Amino acid sequence: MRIIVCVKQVVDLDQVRMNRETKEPVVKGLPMIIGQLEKHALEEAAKLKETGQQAEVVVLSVGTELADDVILETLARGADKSVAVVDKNLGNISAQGIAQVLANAIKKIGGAEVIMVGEGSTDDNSGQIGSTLAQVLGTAFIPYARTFALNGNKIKVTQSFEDYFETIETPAPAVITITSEINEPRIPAITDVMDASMKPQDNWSLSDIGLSADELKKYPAVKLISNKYPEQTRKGIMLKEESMDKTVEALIKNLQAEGVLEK
Amino acid sequence: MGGILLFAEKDNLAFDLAPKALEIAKGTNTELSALVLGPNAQARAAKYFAFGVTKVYMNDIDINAVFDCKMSADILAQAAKTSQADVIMCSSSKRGRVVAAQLSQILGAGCATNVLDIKIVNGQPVTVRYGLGGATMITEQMESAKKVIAILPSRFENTAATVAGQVIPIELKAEKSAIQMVEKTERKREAVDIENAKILVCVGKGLKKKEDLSIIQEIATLVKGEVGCTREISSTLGWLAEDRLVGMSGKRCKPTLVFSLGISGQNQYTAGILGAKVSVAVNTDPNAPIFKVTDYGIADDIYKVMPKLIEKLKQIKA
Repeated sequence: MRIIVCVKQVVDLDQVRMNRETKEPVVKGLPMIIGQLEKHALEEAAKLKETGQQAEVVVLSVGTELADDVILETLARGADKSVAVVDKNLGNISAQGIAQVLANAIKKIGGAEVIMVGEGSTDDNSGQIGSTLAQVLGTAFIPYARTFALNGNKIKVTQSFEDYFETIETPAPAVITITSEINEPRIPAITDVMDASMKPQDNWSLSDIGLSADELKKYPAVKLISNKYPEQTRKGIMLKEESMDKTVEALIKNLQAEGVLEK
Repeated sequence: MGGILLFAEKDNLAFDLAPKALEIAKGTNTELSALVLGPNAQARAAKYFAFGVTKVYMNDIDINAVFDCKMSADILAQAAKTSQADVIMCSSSKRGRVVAAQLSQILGAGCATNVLDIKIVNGQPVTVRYGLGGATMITEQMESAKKVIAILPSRFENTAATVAGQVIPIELKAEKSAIQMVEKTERKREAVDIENAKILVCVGKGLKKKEDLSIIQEIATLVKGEVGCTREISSTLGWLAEDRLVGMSGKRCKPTLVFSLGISGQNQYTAGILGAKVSVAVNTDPNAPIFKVTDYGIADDIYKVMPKLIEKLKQIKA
């Protein structure tokens, strides 16, 4: 059986800075990292293999360019092989377009019993890829997994909704979205990192998976009007007096002067 | 532009969003209709008239027994066709969000999820949502005629006059779902309204153990505030109910005063306290991003600050 983990490479959000004039984020040239929830997905796939399940874990990423070190990290986290679809025409594509790219790549890989994606990406967090991909592939869709088990052909997942935890069963194949509740991802061991570079890596273009830039244009486009930091004026006063007693006293005096704490 | 069809898996979610849907319907000169599914649909449908909804399409089909995203999306697609709606507005609840995306794929519509607000620009709806993990606000416009817009659960004030609307039964077909329910457990919920709390005392992973929540609660009681928390505390550790989760995946709050205790200040969290009047933070790391969105900060261990804070607050009370 095969598990495909879809991994989005995102810019390291901690390193994004604001352009003070335009209030826009400066993301150009920043290093890419692996999406947070994708670490949980890879961990879950690795755990399944540790239970003795014979499974090939393939990590799939798409983008205009992809960072080699991030791909190596996904392999160090337990994937057996990586597939990267890299094409300059993959910028500014809606979730539906990305889902189509993923679906075509998944078919070329040979399909999978389980396809894992994060419940939302670290940067955009629209949470649209999972169900859109399931629709394109025509497979079942199971969102918000906080537990995952595989018995023969049966997938068992506990889903985390606002009101209920719902444990369901469904026959494979299925697209499953992963929440941070599912596990605690390990930090790869040195040996895993060393092994990673020996694992197979495939690089495909759009035409390799039977798609063209024109075909991606048929998906409804969303036009960006602006992406700006919200106006926020904070005082940024750091309090430090000679003792904690005095520091906390200063805090309380300030809050009382602001009229937000009773005297 | 064709009409707007409003739908949510629960009536209350739909009622919270209805005023925004009506505003957009009026602003684009079109009609607001709604879809009501499930038990007692006929009786429930009439309640939508109080929100200015003129047509309510209804069917007894129950999509909530076992959640099957595909089934919900298929049903909504049929209803969208019958009602000739161009815009489908739904709740960006966890279920609503994934249904919206799948529905948009079926309809060939544009899709915006986790929407915070919708405005009319040049006669067209324009959506606003968080970007870059909660750091920025993205304003965007769907270029397709058909649009699916999922709005984050949030209560918009109803100012509509009740209308004499129509209830229209419609035919909807659902395929049998392959998803089988094994167990359904109600989540621990807390009847707390942190969105409207005047003072919030929020805690993050700087808290070492669950028992120490009593310290946080004591501070909250002293300042007559509510306890809020980061995703780490609610979703990962499960120490507090998600009703207390502040931030992009939780509640967006607007207190006059917020304490962020032992919180590093990921955008995910700070997106939820943008509306605070005064922001206080305590964190051991003086370079923690939380201090960028702080009015008064103390760069020290919360376990040193909290007992002092309690002592001083008690002195005020005395």
